[in-house]
Amino acid sequence: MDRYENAIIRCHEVTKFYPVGDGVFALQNVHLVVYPGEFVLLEGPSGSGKTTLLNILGGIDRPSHGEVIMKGRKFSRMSEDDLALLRRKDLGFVFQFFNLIPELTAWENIAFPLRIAGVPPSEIHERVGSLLSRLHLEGRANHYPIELSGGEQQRVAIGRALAPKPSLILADEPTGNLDSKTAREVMELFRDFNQRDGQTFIVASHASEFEQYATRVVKLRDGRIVE
Amino acid sequence: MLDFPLLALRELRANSTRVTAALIAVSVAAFSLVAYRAVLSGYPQGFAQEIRALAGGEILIFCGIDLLTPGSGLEMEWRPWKGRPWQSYLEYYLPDLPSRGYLAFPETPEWSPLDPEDIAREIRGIPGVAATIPYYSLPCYVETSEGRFEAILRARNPAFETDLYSMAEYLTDGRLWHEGEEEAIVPISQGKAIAGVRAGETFRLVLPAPGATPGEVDWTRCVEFTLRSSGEYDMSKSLREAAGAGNGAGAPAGGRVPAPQDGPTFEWNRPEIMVTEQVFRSMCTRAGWGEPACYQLAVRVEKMAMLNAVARAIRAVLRGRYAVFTVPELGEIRVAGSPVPVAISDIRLVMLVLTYALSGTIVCGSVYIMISQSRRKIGLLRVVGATSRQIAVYVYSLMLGVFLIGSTIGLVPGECLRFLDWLGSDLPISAFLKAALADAGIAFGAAVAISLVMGTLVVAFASRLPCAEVLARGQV
Repeated sequence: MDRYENAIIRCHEVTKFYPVGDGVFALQNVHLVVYPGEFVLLEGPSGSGKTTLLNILGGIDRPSHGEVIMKGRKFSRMSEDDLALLRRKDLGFVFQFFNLIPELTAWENIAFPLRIAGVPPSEIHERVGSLLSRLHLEGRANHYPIELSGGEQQRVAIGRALAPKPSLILADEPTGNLDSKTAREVMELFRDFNQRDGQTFIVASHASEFEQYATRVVKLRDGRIVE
Repeated sequence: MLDFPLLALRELRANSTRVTAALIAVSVAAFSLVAYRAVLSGYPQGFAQEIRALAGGEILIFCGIDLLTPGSGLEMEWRPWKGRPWQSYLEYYLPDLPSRGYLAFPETPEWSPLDPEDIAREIRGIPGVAATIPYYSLPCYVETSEGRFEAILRARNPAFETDLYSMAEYLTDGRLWHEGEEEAIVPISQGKAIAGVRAGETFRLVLPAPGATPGEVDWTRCVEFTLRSSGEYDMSKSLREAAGAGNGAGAPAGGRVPAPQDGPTFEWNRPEIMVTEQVFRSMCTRAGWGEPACYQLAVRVEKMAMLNAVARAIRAVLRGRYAVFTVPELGEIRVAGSPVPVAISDIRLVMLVLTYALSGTIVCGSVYIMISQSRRKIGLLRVVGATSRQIAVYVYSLMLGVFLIGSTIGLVPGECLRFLDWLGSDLPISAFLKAALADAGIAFGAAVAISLVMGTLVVAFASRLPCAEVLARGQV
């Protein structure tokens, strides 16, 4: 089995077309292969297709053409529930606007994907406790999202994405809603999890200053990979 | 799976204003349920009270009737009548019974004469039996200035007269007799008043002598008595209707019974002349009758709560030799054909069903609005791995949460009312607890059933929301 087959996720000639007005190509013939342990930075200005590509890689959106393959399974042949089960186990998401569940505390938000996956309570406690410690959120475990700062909320979101130990973390502009200091802290957290745990990341950002954290930079312009 | 009900409860708490209307609707439905059940668990008091007052008890034992129930075989046999003269009132209905016998299924026991002393002895040991009251009677004529009327002479013991079983409240004129008043009587109109007899007036009563053969009544050797009426009473319309429907007598219009031509005819709804047992026995002796015949035996129970248990025990002791009935309950009124209580009950049931349907609609609407405004959250749940089945659990939990909380809120005042009702009754506390538990079971069962049925559309809507909803703008 060659290295190509060992890839965590592959997308072939992925095109996304929105039939709005004269029609808009958000992505055109994108080909991307991500290997275990990589920290890929998807860089590009607003409207370049970063979010669309991440959503397609995460099974949130479907491509108009092309195929996404993860662990040998083609997304085009999977139902919504199959994709949900795949995301539960192998994919973690970090959004620009955090998307925490407001009725749950920080601890419960991180534990939520573990609980719906049926992980034993003792293991949930161990994993969530460990994550809270690494994310420096020990004192905020019982706080609701509305009681947390933006940086803290994003760290909780990172914890939620990491809790199930997924094969791949997809982060869409994770620093877009944070001040520069907090943004750097978040990126350092990503790098820490990447280097110490071998966690694979694909992070979308319009800021080139974060290239230093990545092992590979993929530049998108007008829906195409240019570099 | 446990997280979705928990999440739903938190969601309801966070949207308390939005779900208030739904909670009120469900609590009203649950309260209505308890009220419906609490009232229905009794029976029309006025109706039952009339039966008690007229019969003298809550359980009535008749001879024979059960024995007409078919057995396994289709062949029947003639049996000789072994009763005493005028025994058990039966000759009044079946004049040929003493001479020709009766037809019965081979498996059925003998049609026994009703011997009140024997029966009283047999059922005396049954817990809850307070008293047994025999109903003695004989056919007779009443002659007034208006004509001659066929009637039934009935004995009633003033010693058994109590507030609960008193005929006094059914008096339309005059007063009830007392112990020792030998000539005071009460003609019972029951829709067929004896014309020419008013309270305080005297009239002639003709009593037949026993015939030459057992079971015969000899109208050629009558004995006449002059009696004075102390008062007149009438049972209410509902009782007359029930009695009429139950017996299919087809009472003649005009309120008067035609004068008999050749002895009493087969007719149920004829007036009764009620005298004290002491006077009745004295009259029987003068007319040549020995032990007076007993038509039925009324049994009084110590507590109404024991009514059904005592009736069951009596049936077991008597082993099918006699028919045992309790005072009428709703089902019997339905059979008897009195439409009013049944109609009221049906209307209340329809209103209860409508209340639940309305509350279900309000809950479904509220949850649908909540889901519509939480599409992004549903999308997020899908992103973190929730399947459509788990989304369905989440939505059902929202609906069930509203229904269960609302039902609990409605049950509390409902059970308080039931408790007050219990305080005024002679029922044991276990009866209240049993009823309250049944209320809760039915209310919560209805909550689950309505949530499952009416929530299907909302669940279908929510579980088909794509995870791309998470990309929508706005708060989760």
